[in-house]
Amino acid sequence: MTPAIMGFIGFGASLFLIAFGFPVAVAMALVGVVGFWLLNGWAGAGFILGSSPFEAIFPYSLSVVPLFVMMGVFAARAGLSRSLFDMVNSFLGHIRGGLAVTAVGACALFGAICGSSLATVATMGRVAIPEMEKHGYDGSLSSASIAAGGTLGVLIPPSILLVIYGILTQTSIGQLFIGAIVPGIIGAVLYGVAIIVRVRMKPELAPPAAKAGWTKRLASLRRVWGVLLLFSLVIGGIYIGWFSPTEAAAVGAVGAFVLALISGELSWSTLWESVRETAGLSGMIFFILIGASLFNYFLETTGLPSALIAGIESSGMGPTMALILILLFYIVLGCFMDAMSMILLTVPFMAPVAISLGFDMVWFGILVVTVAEIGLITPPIGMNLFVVQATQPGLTQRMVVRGILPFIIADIIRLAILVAVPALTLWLPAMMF
Amino acid sequence: MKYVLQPLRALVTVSAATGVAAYAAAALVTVGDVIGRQIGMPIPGVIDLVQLFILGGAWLVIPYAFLTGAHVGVDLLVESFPRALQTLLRFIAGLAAIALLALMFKYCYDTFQQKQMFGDRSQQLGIPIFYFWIPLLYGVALSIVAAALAIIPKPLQETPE
Repeated sequence: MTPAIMGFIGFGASLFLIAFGFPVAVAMALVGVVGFWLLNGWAGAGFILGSSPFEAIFPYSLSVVPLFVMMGVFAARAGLSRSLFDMVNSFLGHIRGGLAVTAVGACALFGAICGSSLATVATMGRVAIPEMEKHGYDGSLSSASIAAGGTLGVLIPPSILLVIYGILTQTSIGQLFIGAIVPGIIGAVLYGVAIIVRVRMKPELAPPAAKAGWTKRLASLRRVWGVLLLFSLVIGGIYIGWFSPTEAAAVGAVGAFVLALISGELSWSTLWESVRETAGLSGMIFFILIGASLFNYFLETTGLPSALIAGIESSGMGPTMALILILLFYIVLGCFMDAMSMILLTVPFMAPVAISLGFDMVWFGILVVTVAEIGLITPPIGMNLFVVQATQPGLTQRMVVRGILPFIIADIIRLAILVAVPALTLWLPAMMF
Repeated sequence: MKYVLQPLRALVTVSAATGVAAYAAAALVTVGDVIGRQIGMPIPGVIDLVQLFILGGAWLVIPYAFLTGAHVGVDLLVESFPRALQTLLRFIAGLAAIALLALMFKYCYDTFQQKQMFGDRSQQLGIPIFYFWIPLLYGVALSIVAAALAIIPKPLQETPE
């Protein structure tokens, strides 16, 4: 058996263990250690076991992970979601389906300071769904708008997934963040269009609401100054070159804490909850990075990436066809795996393939994260569908799934646009610093 | 039994809170450095300090993720199995995690001893590298305890003796 075939078997074994309930990190670590042992002997396996728990966490660039997690957790606790929703609502709430468009817009803005899709859905769902219910919106439209809008938090910077992709592929995290801005805006606009088209076809889904005056609009704008300031400071700071991503994450974490303090929402109990949430989330991410590091040692030894590159070259397939196949592979995998695990498990062997095909790694990263986003709203494992359902007792899974199709179509259209026009992603990073 | 388990759970939780405090320290040191640079007073060795706080913090919170079952997994297939089989599979996964962590501890301890022997130091402040390994070893050992706590069946956890 060739090492490359062992690599394929190892990938399959990881999926098998994950399917049978093993945590993703443990499955990747076990397959990595056993595979490395079979190929290099026990001394080699002992070496990677004794170095990965340090090497996988030690790089300075990784400091951004817990700091952005902290920023997101405090932002979610600071009560900013209500102010954001009210602000967008004052501008868009009067159009038919406007509250659902508002929810998407507020999710996009909240994602700009949160970085976590699940936190965005959970926080915004509690604010926006009761409001839409009060105005007679159909449950399938309101819940699906939040589930889809929440995915924007994965792409719109700061994004934990982009940080992890950047670390795995040695791509500039700053460039990835800046490159994600335009695709994120396109995503929000297409979701808005999907809502408006759906409501035009079925007006009973969303009754019209009253238009807000400019006094109300300006007042609601004043209430979100903190969010705008924090986003401008973090992302603007990276763009202008004031901060490295690690420094921006630190400024963001401290800034979100200060905003939470000013908002008066931070009691001792919410502080304790924030600490626990930060510990659970960052602990999960760091251990998954260790599992991925052990798995990658094994994959590198098998030469699987080189075998994949050779396979693509010998098939005579062009880069575009290869890219479409890669994206289809991610869309299918995303139906069954969560976004982070999928990226950690596959990027180590997909990245060399992408490089050999001549793809820009910032562009490829944005495409991979965009397809990972689709996985968040695709049944049966779309995590956002579960989270949005959990925010409201009356919602059923069927109701949420019924409303999600227009958003999946919007995502596919966005993906096609981003594949066809790489400049949309690469234009802003090219102008950095 | 619960008189043994409760202090262990508390230890894992307090360690996690300490880990988050270490993250906060990393954030404050970095922000202090950003501000300090503007007035010509940067914090010396900021990268070493941040790496120490983050690595230490990470290994203090990882046991908490094991205790609370925060590690991501896919339950789709498992949830279609009978309850007894689900419990068995989760128990096997837990045992596999414990075995993996135990091996990790053994080999990390060997590496720790080597680092101590060679006397490697960090680049900016000259902090002995084996200092970085102390929270790591503590975290791996505590993760074994946390993973074990997570697979003990609930009725057994509540038994007084």
